[in-house]
Amino acid sequence: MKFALIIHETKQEFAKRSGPEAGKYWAAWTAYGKALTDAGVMAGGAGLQGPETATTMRLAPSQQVQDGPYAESKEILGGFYLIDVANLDAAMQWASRIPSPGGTIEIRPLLVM
Amino acid sequence: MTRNSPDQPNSPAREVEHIARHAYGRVLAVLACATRDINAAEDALADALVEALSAWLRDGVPANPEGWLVVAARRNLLDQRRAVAAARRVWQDPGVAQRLQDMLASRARPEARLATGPNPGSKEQAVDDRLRMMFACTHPSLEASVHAPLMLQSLLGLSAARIAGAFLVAPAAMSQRLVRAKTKLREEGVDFSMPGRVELVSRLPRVLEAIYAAYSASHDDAVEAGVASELADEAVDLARLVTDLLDDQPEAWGLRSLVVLSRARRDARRDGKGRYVPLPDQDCDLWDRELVQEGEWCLLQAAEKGPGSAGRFALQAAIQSVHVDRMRTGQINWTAIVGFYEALLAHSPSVGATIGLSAGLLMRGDPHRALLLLDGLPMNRVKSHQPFWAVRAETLRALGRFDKSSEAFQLAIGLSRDAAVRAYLLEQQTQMRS
Repeated sequence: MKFALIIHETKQEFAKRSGPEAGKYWAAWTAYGKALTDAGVMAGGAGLQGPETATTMRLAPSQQVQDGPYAESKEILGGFYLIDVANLDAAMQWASRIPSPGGTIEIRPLLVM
Repeated sequence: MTRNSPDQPNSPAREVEHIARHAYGRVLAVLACATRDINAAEDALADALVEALSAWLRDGVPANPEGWLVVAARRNLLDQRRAVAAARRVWQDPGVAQRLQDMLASRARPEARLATGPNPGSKEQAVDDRLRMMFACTHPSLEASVHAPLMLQSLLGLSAARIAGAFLVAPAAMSQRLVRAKTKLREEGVDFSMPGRVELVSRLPRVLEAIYAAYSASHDDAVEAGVASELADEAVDLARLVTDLLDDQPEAWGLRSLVVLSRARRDARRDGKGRYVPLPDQDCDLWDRELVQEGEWCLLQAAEKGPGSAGRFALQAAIQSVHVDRMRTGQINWTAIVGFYEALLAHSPSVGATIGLSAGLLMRGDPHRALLLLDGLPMNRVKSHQPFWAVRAETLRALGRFDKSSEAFQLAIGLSRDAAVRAYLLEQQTQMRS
C-alpha cells in the first residue's frame, strides 16, 4: 500500500536549512532517506524550497496569481515522501521517525489507478 | 478562564475529575465483572461520571466516591435493561418493527445480567475485580496486540485517542480494535472469574506482558512527551497492583522491579541542555532514590518467592539493578550484566536480549564476540531496528572499522524517533570521522 508522508516543519526547524546547524539538519534527512531505502519501502518524494519561492495561481473563473504560498501558516510545507508499506500502522511507524521535531506529518494513502 | 475551568490546576472541577478518574478502573471492574459486558458497563459508568461531575461540584465529593459511582452506574445499567425490554415489547408490532430496528441497531444490548453483585464498600472485593478484569483483558481469545490497550482503557479509563497516540495507531483504528475486543469477550461469554492455580501459571505471563507493553509504549523513544511519561506511571501502577494482589508470583515482582527501576532514572536521561545521556554516563544523583529502593526490594521479593528460577522479567530487573549498583560502587560490573543477559537468552531468546548481550560484551572489552552475535541475527528482523544499528555502530568503531561503523551510525540515526538520541548519534558519528 502506498502512502504519502506530507511534512510540515516548524519555522524554527525550517530555518536550520541554512546557518550553523545546516550540517546536522541535512545529515538527519539523509540518514532518514537511507533508512527508507535500505528497508525497501522508499517509493519517491521530494524536498521543497522555501515558501517565499512559491507562486500561487487561482484558476478561472476567478483567475488570480499571487507571490508566496497558498496559505500562510505557522508551519511550512517542507516536502513529502512516498512509501510502500503493508498498512497504515507501518506507515505511522515510518512517519514517527521523520527528523522534524515539533513538526506535523499528514499521512495519506495514494489513489489506486 | 473561569474559576472552575477543568484546565486550571487544583480547581474543584479538576479535583473531582481526578477522583473520578482514579476510581474509574475499580468501579468499571465491579460493574463489568457482574455483567460480563465491558461495553455496557462503560456506557453506564460514562453517564454516571457526567452525573458525578455536576453532583459533586454542587454538593461536594461524597465520602465514598467509588460507592457513589457504582450505585449511579448500576441504576444506569438498569435503565439500559429497561429500555431494551421496552423496545422488545414494541417490537411485537410489525408496523414499527423496522423503524425501531434501524433506530436501535446501534444501541440495543442483550439484557444486562444485573447480579446482586459485590458490595461496593468492600475494598477487598473491588481489588479482586480489577485483577479478574486484567485476566479478561488478556484473554487468550483476544489478539495479543490489543491486550495492553484494552487494559489501559478498562482499568485506567484512558481514551482510545490517547492510547492510539502511545501505540502509534490511528485513533479510529484503535477505537475499532477496542470495541471489537470487548464485543468478542461478550459474545464468547468469557467469564470474568479468577483463573485457578494451574491456569494462573499459563495466563499470568500475558497479563505481565501487557503491562510491560504499556510501559514500553510510553517510553520507547519518546521520553520528552509529557503524555507518554504519564502512561509510564500508569503502567507502574498496574505492575504494583498485580503484586499487591498476587504477592506469591516471582515474575510479577520481577516485572514491578523492572519498570520501577527504569522509571527511577527518568530525570537522568537528559542533561541540563536537553541532550541525551546514555545509561552508563548518567548522573546517579538524579535517580529517584525512593523508586530505586522500591525496585530493589521487589527484586528481592522475586528472588525469595521463586528461588533458583528467575524468569525473564526478574532477569531484566537484575540487569537494571547492576546499573543501580553504580550508586554505591562507582562502577558498572559488566561481567555481571553479561551473565544476566546470557541467562536471559537461555530462558527466552529474543532479538532484544541478543543486542543487550552484545552491548554488554562490547563494554566488557570483547567487541569480536559482540559482532559475531550481532551478525548472527536474522537481517529481516533487525534491518529497521534502531538499537541493532546503534550497538553495531559502536562495536565496529571499537574494532577500528570506521567506514562500516559510520554506515551503521547513519542507519541508527535514520531510524531514531527521538531528536535527542538522533543528535547524540550524529555527534558520535562526526567525532569518529574527524
